Formats: sequence, C-alpha cells, structure tokens
Amino acid sequence: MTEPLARPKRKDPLKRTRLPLRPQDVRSRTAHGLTAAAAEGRFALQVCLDCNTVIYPPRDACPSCLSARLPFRDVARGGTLIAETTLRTSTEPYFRERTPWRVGTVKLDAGPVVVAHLHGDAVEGERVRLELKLDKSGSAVAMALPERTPRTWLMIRICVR
Amino acid sequence: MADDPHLREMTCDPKFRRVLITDGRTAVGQAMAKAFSDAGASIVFVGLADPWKPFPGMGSLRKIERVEIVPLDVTDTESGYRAGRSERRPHRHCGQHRRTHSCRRCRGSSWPDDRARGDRCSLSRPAAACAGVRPDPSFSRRGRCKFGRGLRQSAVGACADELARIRELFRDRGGMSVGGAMHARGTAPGRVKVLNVFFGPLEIEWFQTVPPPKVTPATLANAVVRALQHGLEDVFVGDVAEDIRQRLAVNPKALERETGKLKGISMTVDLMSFARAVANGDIRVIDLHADAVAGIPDHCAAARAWDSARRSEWRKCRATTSADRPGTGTTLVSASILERTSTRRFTGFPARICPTTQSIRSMSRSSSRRLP
Repeated sequence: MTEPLARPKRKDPLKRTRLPLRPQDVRSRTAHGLTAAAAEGRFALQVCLDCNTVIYPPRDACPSCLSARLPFRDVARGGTLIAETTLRTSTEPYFRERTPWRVGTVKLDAGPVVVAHLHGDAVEGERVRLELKLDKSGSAVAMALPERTPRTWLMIRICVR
Repeated sequence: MADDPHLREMTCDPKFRRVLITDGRTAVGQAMAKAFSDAGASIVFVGLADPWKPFPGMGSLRKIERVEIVPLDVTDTESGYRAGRSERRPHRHCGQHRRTHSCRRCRGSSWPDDRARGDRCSLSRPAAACAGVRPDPSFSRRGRCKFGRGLRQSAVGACADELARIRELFRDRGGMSVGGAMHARGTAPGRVKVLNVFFGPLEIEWFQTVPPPKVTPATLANAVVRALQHGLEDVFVGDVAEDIRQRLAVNPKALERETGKLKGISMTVDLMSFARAVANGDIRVIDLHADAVAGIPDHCAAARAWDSARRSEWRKCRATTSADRPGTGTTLVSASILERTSTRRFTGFPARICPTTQSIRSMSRSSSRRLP
C-alpha cells in the first residue's frame, strides 16, 4: 500500500545537490505515436486496419498479416497483472538512485502483453488499468495502476473537476 | 494513490512542490494561485511587476493560504534572476493578456513586437533563471523537487487559426516554438518540461465581445492542476478548444482552410476587385494587413480597415510591396496603418503602384483617380 507522502525536509546546504537525471529516451519514429497519446492522456496502441490486431510494441508491419497500415487508435486500457518483479539495482544511473523499482507484465484485454512500471498498489494476479505516461526524458512509458480507484483519489478527481 | 513515488516520477503533482506564478494581477493568475494552494503546493510564489499598484482581487489573493507575493517582472531579465537566486521555481506563466480591439486603436507598429517578445521571454527568462536551463548553483537548495515544469498557456489559435485572433496566433505560434525548444533543451539535463494549455475565450473582461462558450479562470486553473497531476503535456480546455482539437486530429488542412484561409481568400477577392478598379488592373491582389502582424489576413478586421481606408481620413500610411511579379500583372501590397488623423480625406489610390516601398500618402497625393 502506498504510504502518504510526507512533507520533504529542507536540504542540508552542506550536502551536494543531486543533479537531475533522465531515463533512456531513444524511441523509434513509429513509437512516438505513443508519446503523442501520452501527451494528451489517451491510451492508444497500433491497430491493424486489415486484421484488427492490436499491436505492442509499435511496429512498422503487422506481426499477424504483414500489413503496413497500422494507425494508432484508442483501445481499452484494462488488463491483468500476470507477473511482477522488483529491481534492486540497475546499470542506468536514473534508475540506480531510485531502486527498488517494480516492473511487471500486463496482459491487456485488447490482446497484447505490455511490460510496464507498477504503481505501489498494483498486485500480481489482479486487474490493473494501464496508462501511458511521459517520463522525465519526455518519452512515453506504460504504467500499471490499480483498477479500483480508492475513495480518496476519487474525491480528488471530483474536486478538480 | 497519487503519493506513490513511482507515479510522482511520471507526473508533476503540485503537492509539496513550490509554484511560481508570474503574473498575479490577472484573474487567471489569481485562480491559479487558489488552485495550486488547494492542490497542496508547499509555497505558491505569485509574481507582481509593480506590487504597489492596486488591482482587483489583491486582498483575496493575499488571503490565499501559502501564497507569497514576490516582485517579478517577466520582461526584465534581472528581475527573473533575482527571483531565481532566492530559491524560486517557475511553474506556470500566465502573462497572457488578450486584447480584442483592433490595432487601429494602437499607434505605432512596435507594440505587437514588444508584446510578443514579452510573452515568449516571459517563459524563457524565469526558466533560465530558476530551472537551471542555464546552470545556476544557487538553485534547488531545498532538494526533493528536482523537476520543474514550466507551463505556458496558448490560445487554441496557436495550432489552428482562430477567428479574430490574428495577432494572438503570431504570438502563440512563436510561444509554442519557444516551448518546444525549451522542452528539447530543458529535458536534456532533465530539468524543464513544458505544458501547453490550449483554451477557448476566457470569461474575463478582455473577451467582453466574444460570445460563449467561454472558459472561466477557475476552470482553466483546475484543468492545469489536473494536467500536472496526470503528467500531461498538451491540454485542451473548453468547448472551443476541444472542438478545434478534434477537427485538427481529423483533418488539419480543412481546419486551416475553414477557420482562416477561406476568410483570407474571400477578403482577397473583395480587395482584388477593388484594387482592379482603382489601380487599373496593375494590382491583382491586395493584402491589407489590418493587424499588420500575422501575415494571415483577418476578414473582419481587414474589411473594417479597408472600409476606413476608403471613407475616413489618413495622415500617414505605409505601403510595402511584399511581392512583385512582372509579366503577370500581379502585385502584392501589404499596407500597415501607422497613424490617422482627421485633417485629410483619403480619396484614392494611384493608377500605378511602384513595386518599391513608398508612402500611400505620396501615392494618394499623386493620384487623380477616385474610388469606385
């Protein structure tokens, strides 16, 4: 369960200020369709116009029928977290100073299986909703959040609306 | 749920973060201060260019919890660096006064340039001062909030030609490119992200003559906070903006033609027939820049200006030949109204317009033809 965030303390001025890092940000030109969707808060994946296969990761040809007509379409974001693991270390400096970091495999209702970052409340074997988020490099990543919205979060959403 | 550290890496939830609002004098700025305070920001710095000048809502702004007024002028670089040195962080920019009156009421031609410069740099100056786009070792002593998110508001016209917002288009397009450049450069060291907010006409006094639907400042502010909480990058607020977004996604070229270019063409046809009459066929297309800024003619404003050019009095005008195509008989003329008085009655254009830059006044003096 996610712990409530505590007010951060003032930094010790004698300590060195930690420099900001960014995660790996190289994406293919096709994959920036995910970035466009994430920028607007949509969940869009490639859908083959010829065989209706939902495709992930983004490709230039349909793995089912080899069609090249693969526009990004909004698809259902629900799925099941079928496996999860916790990274304790990493060769990436960004993740190295943020471990432990949970990642998992989500089987989407729309078809494909997505490797996603996990919210602290996402439990293995239960339903999750997948969202596309922009990480600090500005690239789209998938994040799995618990499907059932806690009451507090719901209240916040109602208030801001 | 929003407190999850992994999720906060992907979003920019204002909770326990510091916010700098660059213009607290506007209704939008005050609504933003309220929204960010309610969202749990640790401190909301509100910039005021001249704090000693009273303004509507000053008392209620000071009563908002965790709001701190700071002297800040976004058009002054030193002011931004002073704010940056005192551990301030840019969060949003709302120096977007939008005025609906025509430039005919504004004397001189430097005002759009000044405003564009101020608006664009109002984003980049505090960011350079505070967010470490330019390294500043005095910055971020408080730790934790390592990642600032600049925010700029755009009219929906920035991505689609909005009616009667020509000079805003110019400014917002410039602002969008600045925002994109800041994003590209700012994310390199991982410090700045830019949130583009596209909104329809606001429910403020500057949009008095614009019909509904409009967006209230509170709605805009809540949408901004929600976008930050969700980690979005492009937000469309209001029915007008949402309509533009949907049409843009379907067919951007059709939207461009429907909202701006068609009007330009119809205006050009009107002016063309007029020009043909007054200039004896030498002028095929006259592009009268009523607002003299965007390069995209606005039908209504241009028609008004053209009408006044025909009927009212001009003292000094300037005609600039933007393109001359000898052999085709086509001359594109761009006229910027500089000043008008009631001392002289404008009667007509000369039979021939020299392709070089010259004064309409001198042309009108030499003209013996009368308007049709």
